[in-house]
Amino acid sequence: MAAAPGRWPPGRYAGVMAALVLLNFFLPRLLPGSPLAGTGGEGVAFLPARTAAELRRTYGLDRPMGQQLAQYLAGLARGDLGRSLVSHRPVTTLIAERLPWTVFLVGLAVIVAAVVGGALGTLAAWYPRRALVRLIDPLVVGLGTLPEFLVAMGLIVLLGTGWQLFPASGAVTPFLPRQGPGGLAAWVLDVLHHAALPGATLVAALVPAFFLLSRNALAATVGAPYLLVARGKGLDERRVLWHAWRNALPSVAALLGLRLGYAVTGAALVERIFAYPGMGLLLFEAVGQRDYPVMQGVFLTASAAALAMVAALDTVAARLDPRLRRGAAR
Amino acid sequence: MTRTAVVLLAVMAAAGTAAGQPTVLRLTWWTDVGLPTPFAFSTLGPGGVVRLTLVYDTLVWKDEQGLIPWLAQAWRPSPDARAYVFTLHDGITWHDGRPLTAHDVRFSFDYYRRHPFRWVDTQLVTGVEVRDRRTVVVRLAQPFAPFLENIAGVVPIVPEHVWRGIEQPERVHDLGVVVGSGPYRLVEYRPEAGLYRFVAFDRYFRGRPRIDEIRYTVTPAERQVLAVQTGQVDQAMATTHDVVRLLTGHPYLRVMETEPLSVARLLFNLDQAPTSLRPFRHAVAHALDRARIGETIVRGPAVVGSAGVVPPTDPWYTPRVHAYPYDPVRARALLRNAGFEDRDGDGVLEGRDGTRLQVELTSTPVRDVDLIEQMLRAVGIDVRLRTVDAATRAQLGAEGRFQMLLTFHTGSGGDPDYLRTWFTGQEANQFAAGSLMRSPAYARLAQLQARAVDPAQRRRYVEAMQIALSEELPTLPLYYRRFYWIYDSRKITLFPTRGGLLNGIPLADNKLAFLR
Repeated sequence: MAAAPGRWPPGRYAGVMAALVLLNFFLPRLLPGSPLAGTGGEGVAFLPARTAAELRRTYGLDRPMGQQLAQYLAGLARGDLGRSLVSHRPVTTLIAERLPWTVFLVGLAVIVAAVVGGALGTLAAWYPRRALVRLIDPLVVGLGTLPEFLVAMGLIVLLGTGWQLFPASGAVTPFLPRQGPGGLAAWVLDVLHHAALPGATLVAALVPAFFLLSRNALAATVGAPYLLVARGKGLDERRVLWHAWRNALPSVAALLGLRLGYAVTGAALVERIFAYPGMGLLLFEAVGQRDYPVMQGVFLTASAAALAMVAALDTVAARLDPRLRRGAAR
Repeated sequence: MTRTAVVLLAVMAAAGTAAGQPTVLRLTWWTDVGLPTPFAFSTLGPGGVVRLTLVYDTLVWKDEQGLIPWLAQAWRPSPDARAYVFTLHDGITWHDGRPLTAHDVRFSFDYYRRHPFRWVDTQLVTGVEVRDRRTVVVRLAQPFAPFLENIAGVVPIVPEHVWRGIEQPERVHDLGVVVGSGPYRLVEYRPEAGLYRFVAFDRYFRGRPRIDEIRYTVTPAERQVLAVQTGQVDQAMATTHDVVRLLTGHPYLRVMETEPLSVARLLFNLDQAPTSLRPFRHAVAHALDRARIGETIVRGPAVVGSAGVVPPTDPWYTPRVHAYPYDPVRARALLRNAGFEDRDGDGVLEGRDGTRLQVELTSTPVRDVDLIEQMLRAVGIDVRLRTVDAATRAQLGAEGRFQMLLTFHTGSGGDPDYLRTWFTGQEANQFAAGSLMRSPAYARLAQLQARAVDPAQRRRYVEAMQIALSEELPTLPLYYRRFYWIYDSRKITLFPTRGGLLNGIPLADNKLAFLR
C-alpha cells in the first residue's frame, strides 16, 4: 500500500534520525570554545593543566574524532548518552530530571494558547463587525510583536516582585515537602503557582499564531456554499460553526502539534529568565559550558520529539481530513 | 497571679523561640554547583569548591587576618622547607561518627595523586608519613612557599573508609559518600534545581555551628539583589558599588565588601604585530583612562589596575611598578616614535608602509569595550571589536588566537604565586597562551619566589616580578572589583576573608561566619 500524499514511509524517519544523530555529535564540536578551556565571566575556573589533561583522558576528548564518534554510537546503542563534563552525572539522568518540567510547562502553555487563540480567532472571523471583536485583532497582533523577554520582565516586575502575586523563579518552592497529609495537593498547587508567570509568557507568545491561523482559516469559509446550504437546511449557528471549524481544524492541529514537537527546547529563553529547571535551561547552561555530552543528549531528545510529533501529525491529519484518507486508499 | 502567668508565658515563649526555632540561613547562587565531593563538584566558577568547605575541612583555614589553625592545631616546616609536620586537633570525628586520624590525611594526599583534586594540583606532595594518630609529615618535592595557603588551606581531607576502593570517584553521586568532618552535613541535594540543604554537625570539633541549617537555592545573577531585598534569601552578591548607597540606612541589611580580588584586564598577544611591539602596549596603557573605565563599570570607586598585576591594596604590592598614568599625549608620542603617524589625516595612524594601525579586541559583550574603543581611537588606534561568548573567548585566549583580549576573573589576591602560574603557562585556561612572560629571567624569579624559605627574600622576588610585568606589559589590568555581599544582619555577620577564600576567591561563605 502506498503512503498517503505527503506522508513519510518509516524508512525515511529512520534515515532522518540517523542524520540527526550525526549532526548532534558534530554540531557541538564545531562550535568555537572547549569544555576544558574554562569559561570567562566572574569566577573563572582555575583548572590546573594536569587536571585538564586528566579530564580530557577520562572523557575520551583526547582521542581522534572517529574514535569519539564510535564511542558515542556504541553508547547510544546501549541507551547511554554519556556523562556531563561539568557535573559528571549521566546525561540520561539529567534529561529525566528536566524533561517533565518542560513538558508540563510548554504543554500547558501550548494547549492554553491554542484554546484562547482559537476562541479569539473564531470570534474575529465569525463576528467581524462587532465593536468589541474589532479590538481583538490589534490587541492580539500587538501582543505578538512584543519580544518574549520583554513580556517576561514585565510580568516579573508587575506580578512577581511588585505585587508579589506569583513566584518569579523556580518550578516549586524550595524544599517544599510532598509527603504528609495534604502534602501532594499543596505541592501541585505550588507547582501551578510557579508555572503562572513563565506559562503566561509562553501563552502570550503563542496566542497570536493560533489566533491568526484560526481566524484566517475560518474567514475563508464564512461565505462558502456549503455553509449557505447548512444554514438553508435550518441548522443552528453553532452547528454551522462546527462545520466551518472542521475545515479549519487540520491547520490548527498541525500548528498545535508542531509547537508541542518543539517543546523540548522551545522555551529556553523563558526557562532561563525564570530559572525554570527544564530542558531549555539545561541546554542554555550546557552550551555556555560547551558540555558536549549534555548538548548532544538535549539535541537528540529534541530531534526525536520533533520527529515523533511529525509522525503523529501525519496520522492525526489523516483522521481530521477525509481527503488525506482517500489519498491513502488509492 | 495574672502578672506571674504573663511573665511565665513570656519566658516560655522566649524559650520556645530559642529552642524550637532553628536558625535557617537561606543562601543563593546562580546555578547548581554539583555534588559536594572533591571529585564531582563543578569547577566552572568558585561556587562548587567553596560549598565543599562546609562539608570538608582543610589542615589550615583563613579568617580576616590570614591563616589560622584548623584540622591541624599546630605545624612547623622542616629547616629545608621540604616537609611540614602537622599536629591534628584532638577529638575530630567524621559525620558518620568515626574518628579522623593522621591516616586519613595520608590517604587523602595519596588518593589525590591518582584522582586529582580538581581545584589545585597536589603533585608537589611526594608523600605523607604518619608519626602517630595525630601527627603527620607532609613531604614536598621541593620547597614551596605557598604550600600552607594554596595547598594545606585548600585541599579537603577525605575519609579513607569511604573512598578506599573507589576507582572512579567522579562517577559516585550517592549522598552517602558525602561524609566529611566539616561543620555541616549535606542532607538534601536536588541538582536539577540547584537546591542544597545542610544541617549543623552536632559533634563538630570546633563546637556546634550557630546556624542550624543552611539552604542554597538558585537565583539568576541579575535578580539576586532584589531577592535579598524582598526577603526571599538572607544573602546575595552584587558586583557594583551602587548597592552600598542603595542600602545605606537599611534597618537590617548590611553590605560586606571583599578585597578587590577580581581583575578586569587586557591581554596582549606578544606574537602578533602591533601588540607584539612594546611601545604599542605602553601607548595603549597611557591612552586608557583606567580610573574612568573602572568607575563607570563598578558604578562607584574603583581600584585602578596596577601594571604589575598585584592590586595596590594587597600587602604584596610594590609601588615601584611602572605606573602608566592616563596621558594621551604621551601615548601619541610613543606611537610616533614607533613609526606610526596620521599620514592621510583621517584620525587613524599609519605605519611607515602606510598600513593603518588597526587592532582586534576580543571580548564578551560588555560595556568596557565601548570605552576602550573610544579612548584608543582618540590616540589614533583603530579598534575592531570581535564579540564572542565566554567559552569562545576562553578558547581563543588559551590558543593565543587574539590580538587584544578583555577578560575578567577572580584570584588577584592571597598568595602571590599567581604571578608564576598565570604568566608561565601553569593554568589550562585563558591565561595560558599568547601573553605569557617569555624572559628566562622572569621564569627564574617565578621559581625562586615559589621556593623561597626566607619571607624577606621572597618579597624581593615577588616585587621584581611585578616590576618585570609592568615593563614588559603582557597584560594591562584595567581595574579590580570587589564583590559586595548583602546580608541580613539579624541572622549573620559576614567578614572579608584575608586574601579571599581558598586561593583568592571573593566569596562570603566562610564557614567561620556560621560558627561564630
